[in-house]
Amino acid sequence: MLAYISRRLAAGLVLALLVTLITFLMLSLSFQDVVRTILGQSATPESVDAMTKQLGYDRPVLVQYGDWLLHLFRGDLGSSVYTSLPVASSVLQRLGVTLSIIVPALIITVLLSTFLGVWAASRGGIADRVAQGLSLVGYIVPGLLLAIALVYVLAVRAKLLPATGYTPLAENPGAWLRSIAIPVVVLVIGGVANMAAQVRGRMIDELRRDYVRTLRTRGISTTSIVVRHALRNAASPALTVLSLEFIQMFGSALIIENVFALPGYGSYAFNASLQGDIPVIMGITIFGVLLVTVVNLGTDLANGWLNPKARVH
Amino acid sequence: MSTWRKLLRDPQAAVTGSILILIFAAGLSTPLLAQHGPNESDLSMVNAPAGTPGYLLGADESGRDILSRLLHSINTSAVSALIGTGVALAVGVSAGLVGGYFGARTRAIAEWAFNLVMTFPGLLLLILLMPVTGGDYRYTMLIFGVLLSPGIYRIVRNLVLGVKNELYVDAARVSGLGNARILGRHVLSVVRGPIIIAAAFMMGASIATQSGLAFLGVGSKEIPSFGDMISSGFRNLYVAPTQFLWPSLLLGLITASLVLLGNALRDTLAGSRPQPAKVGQGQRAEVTPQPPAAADPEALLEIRDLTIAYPGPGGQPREVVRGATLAIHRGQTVGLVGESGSGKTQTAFAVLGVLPDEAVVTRGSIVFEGRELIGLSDSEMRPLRGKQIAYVPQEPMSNLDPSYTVGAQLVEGVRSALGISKSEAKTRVLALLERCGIADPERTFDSYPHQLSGGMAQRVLIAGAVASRPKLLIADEPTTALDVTVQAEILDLLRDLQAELNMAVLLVTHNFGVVADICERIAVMERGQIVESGDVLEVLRGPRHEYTRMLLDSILDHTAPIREASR
Amino acid sequence: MSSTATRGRALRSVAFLAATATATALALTACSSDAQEPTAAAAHNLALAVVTPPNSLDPAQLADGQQMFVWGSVFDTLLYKENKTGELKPNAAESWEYNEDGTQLTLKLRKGMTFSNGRPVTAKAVEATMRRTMTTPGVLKIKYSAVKSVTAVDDSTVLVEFTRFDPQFVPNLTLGAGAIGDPDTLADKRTATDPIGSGPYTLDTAATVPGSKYVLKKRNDYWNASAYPFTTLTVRVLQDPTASFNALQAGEINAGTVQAQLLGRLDKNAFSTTRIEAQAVMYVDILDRKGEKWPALGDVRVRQAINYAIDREGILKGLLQGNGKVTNQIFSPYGKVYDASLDSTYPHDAARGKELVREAGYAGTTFKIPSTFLSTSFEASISQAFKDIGLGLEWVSVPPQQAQTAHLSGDYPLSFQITGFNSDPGDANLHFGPDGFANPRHYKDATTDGLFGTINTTVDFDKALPAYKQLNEYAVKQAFEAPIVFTGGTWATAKGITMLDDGKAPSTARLFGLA
Repeated sequence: MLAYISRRLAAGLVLALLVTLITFLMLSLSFQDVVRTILGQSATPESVDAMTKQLGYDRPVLVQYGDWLLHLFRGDLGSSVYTSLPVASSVLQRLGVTLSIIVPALIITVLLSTFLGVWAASRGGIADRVAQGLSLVGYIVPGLLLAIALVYVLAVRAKLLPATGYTPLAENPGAWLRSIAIPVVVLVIGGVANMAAQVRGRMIDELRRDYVRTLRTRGISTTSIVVRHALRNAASPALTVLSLEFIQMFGSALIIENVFALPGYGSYAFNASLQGDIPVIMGITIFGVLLVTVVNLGTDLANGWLNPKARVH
Repeated sequence: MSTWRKLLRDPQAAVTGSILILIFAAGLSTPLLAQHGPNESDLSMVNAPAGTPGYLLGADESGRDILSRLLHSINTSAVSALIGTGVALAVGVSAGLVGGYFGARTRAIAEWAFNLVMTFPGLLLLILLMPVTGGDYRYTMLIFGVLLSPGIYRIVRNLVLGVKNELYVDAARVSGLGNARILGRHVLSVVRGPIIIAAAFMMGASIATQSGLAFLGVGSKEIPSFGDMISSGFRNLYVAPTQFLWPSLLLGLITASLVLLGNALRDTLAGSRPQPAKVGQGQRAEVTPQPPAAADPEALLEIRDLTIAYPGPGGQPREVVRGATLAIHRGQTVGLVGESGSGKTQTAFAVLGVLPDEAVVTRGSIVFEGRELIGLSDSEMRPLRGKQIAYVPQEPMSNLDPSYTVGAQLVEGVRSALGISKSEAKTRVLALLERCGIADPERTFDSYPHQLSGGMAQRVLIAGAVASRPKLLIADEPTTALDVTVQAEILDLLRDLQAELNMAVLLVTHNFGVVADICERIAVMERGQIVESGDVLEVLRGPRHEYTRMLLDSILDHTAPIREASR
Repeated sequence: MSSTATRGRALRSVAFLAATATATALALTACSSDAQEPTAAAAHNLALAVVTPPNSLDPAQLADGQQMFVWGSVFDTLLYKENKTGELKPNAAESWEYNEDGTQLTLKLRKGMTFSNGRPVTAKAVEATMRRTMTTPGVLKIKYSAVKSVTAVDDSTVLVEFTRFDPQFVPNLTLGAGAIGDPDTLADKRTATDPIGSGPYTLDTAATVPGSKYVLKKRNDYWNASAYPFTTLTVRVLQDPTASFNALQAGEINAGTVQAQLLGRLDKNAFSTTRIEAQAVMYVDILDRKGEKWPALGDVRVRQAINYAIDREGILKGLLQGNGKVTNQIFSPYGKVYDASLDSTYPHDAARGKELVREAGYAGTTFKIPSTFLSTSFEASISQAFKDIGLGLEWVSVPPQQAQTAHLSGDYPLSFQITGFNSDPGDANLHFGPDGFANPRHYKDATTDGLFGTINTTVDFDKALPAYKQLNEYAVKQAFEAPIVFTGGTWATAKGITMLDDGKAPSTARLFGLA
């Protein structure tokens, strides 16, 4: 098992190298644009040249990449060409903000959609229609509209929750909870519809399988059949969806971060790529690769635990 | 054709499909419907309210007609959906089939490539690639399709991995079908449903992403899109909220319809429409239960005039069992014989109270030890199941929960039937496994179903069934799915257990050899009716009914070897 | 303003317009009527919203515009522009004086100023900062392009020597080019993110989240502490105008710009508003003024036709909700060069424009123009204007990081810009100077050469003013650009806080006072 995990992580590292190389090569096409953007209206040919030299963008691309790698191994991701802030700590800080929205949102999404999906699939009839109706509402109601409405009612009018901004958990847990409340709700509503439909579909399939009938003929309780057996078998494909949902949420979070002015990973990445802040983009890329590697590994391990057939040896 | 008809009849598919067709037809007829170009701006019409002549839904912050822009946006989203999903499906499905079906090495390569794709920070990549795509949303969607493909790949790969080693693929392989045909015929049919539902989701995702990017202002502003309209409406939210509402609602409607349609499609393609039903409510009966009239005082189980109907294609109920009557005495072994589709299994399920949700018992009664079973709920049946009446299924593999070890499943059954402690149950299960002819009970106890052979699995199921010494064992074709040599052993085991525990056995089979071998009585079933019953030897020697004779004739050639084998 | 206008702007152009730029207000159009009882806590905290976060805080990389709220609090500038007049006033430098031909500038420093680490602010510090900025590649280096040397004559006297007179230099000393860094820590790594300055505030790094929230604490030992009544200054980065509006209403910030269309929803009893009529100029820049690559644009009739074609009033009312002022010239209406009479040069007259284009023989010509975040809201109307006079316009989508490149590349005949005001000399050079940003093909002719000759040699601005005015008139008549409007904005401040400027002073905490 340990060997498997380390092999997967090693593969992740190779992947990271390749992805960062490709990203760097793509970015290298826009060195001049970046320098001009930094200099703005003071971009004369001379100042562009001087700045290019200062940033080292005049060196061969592969040398620059090698240099970046060398620093990476020393734990140094460089610093933003705009703000001079160190990339590594900025990315971590931003990632913390986004994760502290996404993770609670994901947990609630899983609980809620499992409940809804199982309820709909094992109750049928009205329960099914209610659950389907709820997820339909989740699809149709635009998350943004909901966000605005919640902000208006809870923040602007009632002043119960902050309308913008983020308080770190370590600083004040209560304020943290309040600052993530609306963004989490908005993300959950967007995610539950999809997840609940997946859970429902898988559960219906599972509940019609032969082994469920056999278990029933053994006198095993309905709860055990639904929860221990059918749900567990339905969980494995749902988990795959979940891991994709997780990655997806980074995208949805971008818009949320924007609306709530949260200093998150998404808006950091977005602004960096709009500005062409090369060290920041590289840092975001490598963290992204590692994150996805870990999430995928986690998904596969969990899948193996849930589904003995897919277990890796 | 029938699939189409089914879809048309399904309200969910029909409604969502019509909505989508309506929306996209409106999109296609934009040249006819739109009174203005998507970017045609009239500064005197800025924020014109809905109902302004020529501006049915009003005009936006730049004085552009909202209705025209909505119509053009529909087309943009349709193109986005088609490109994104098409690319994702083409890449993901083919790679998933290959990656799932072929060996570990092929899979490793595919896996690696898709991890590579997946790790590209999607949205970022799309933004970064703007110089390459020139801000053209079609190229952006092309790339997005590739980014979506790992999702499809993983779904397909997991499903393929799951079904790959299942029996019918093995069988196909044995029967010499080429890899391509196996993939095409068996695997593709299994993954079709999930792919279709995923495709619907991906269309939604493509549309949402295109809108999201446009909302953020990435890409050409010349292209009308929901995202751009929402962003413009968002800026104007407090001034003219409807500007935000229209595109949001339409976008939501399209995405929701796509998903619901996907669900409906999947349900339809997966065969009979699996509607969720309340688990634990028991099988449906439309019979007013009558006090059991003990016609046969010695009978352990008495089935009278049993009629089971399924909803037919025309909405008319289709009877699969029609007035079946059958009695089993204590300790007696009765063979229920007939061709497949004759209603044997349905009869057996009805006794156990596990008919599928669609089936309805429309007539008759089933009396077990003087108690009417028809109309009982699941919880009322539960004390009988496992303890009094047990069941051995036909296909051993699919009847074990793949996620639990053999031991865990058996222990759970034993404990719920007998209410004993975990360790007691384990001891008992181990003993039973040994009794059922399993060489290494400890090891089997800790094995997962997929690690067992078919014969072993059937022994496990028999052990599970007889664990609580039931009075009646219903064995539904217990040997059909097994190798010939194993068949005999299993029959021997059943016979021995029957004698040992003095169980009554209802043996459902199409095999006269098996019946002759272990049954005392026989009942022959044809198209839902029991056409002949009686003592085994009498019936076999002198069949009175045409159908029995025909069955006997048709198998006569094979009888000898089967008898041989079953000895 | 300057370079920031073109970068980091990313998100929504209208948001940007409404909130960005030099900030600040016209007369106190709406006074907070009754109840002059500010709650003590609120009164001493100023929390304001900006769209653009500050980039580097390195004194060699300071960008103007809203970024100045943060760095302008940490650093003191040598000079300062007075609220409501925009006039140059002494700040860290008590006086400044040119020699006869403007090649030597003597700056006398105020005494008793200290850096936040307690060291005194001396001429050596100014010398060190200026010398470093001169040699460090970055946004400010170009502002020192005419500087030959900087010398600390004594503890409080700095002598700046020039290769030629630079009329922009002194106005620039009110902005980034005039910031004073601590010579002992300038070379340290912290300089870019947490520099030592001699300004009224210090950065509270523990409470600050770079890119999102900047918290600044007041220095009580600052020489001019009374001009900064707020003990804490919080600068929140809120790129989304709706988010900013919500934050204002929810009391999370107490000063911020508000979009015109949202003003009506603001509680008049809780907020007072200050209108700024002009903070930047929006124009279609004609890049090929000589007609080298696109001969049509070399014909003055075509350039004038474009000016006739644009429906300025319509754009102002329709797209900017009346927030701003139509214009035919690019000089700031707050400056001395601005000439109101020029604004009637090009009334909206598509027929006239069409006739001019036809006369010039360029009907049917189509031009490419980069489509950027700034232009998106206006593209439809500008395209319509070109169509009305028989020309065509094709907007080519350009990613933000290539907007500068596209403008400078020579691949486009036209470019849509929104440029903040700098100073009259600065604006003259930027728009019409041979190396100006808005003139990337280095257009010059005998007239502009002559006028710039006067401008660049006349040390006394008032004496050079006629040349500036002629330049302005010549540029308008020649239609080197197609100015559209001065974009405006409105600041809303919560009760207890008052706006002390109307758009003439740079973006610093000094714009705000206690009511």
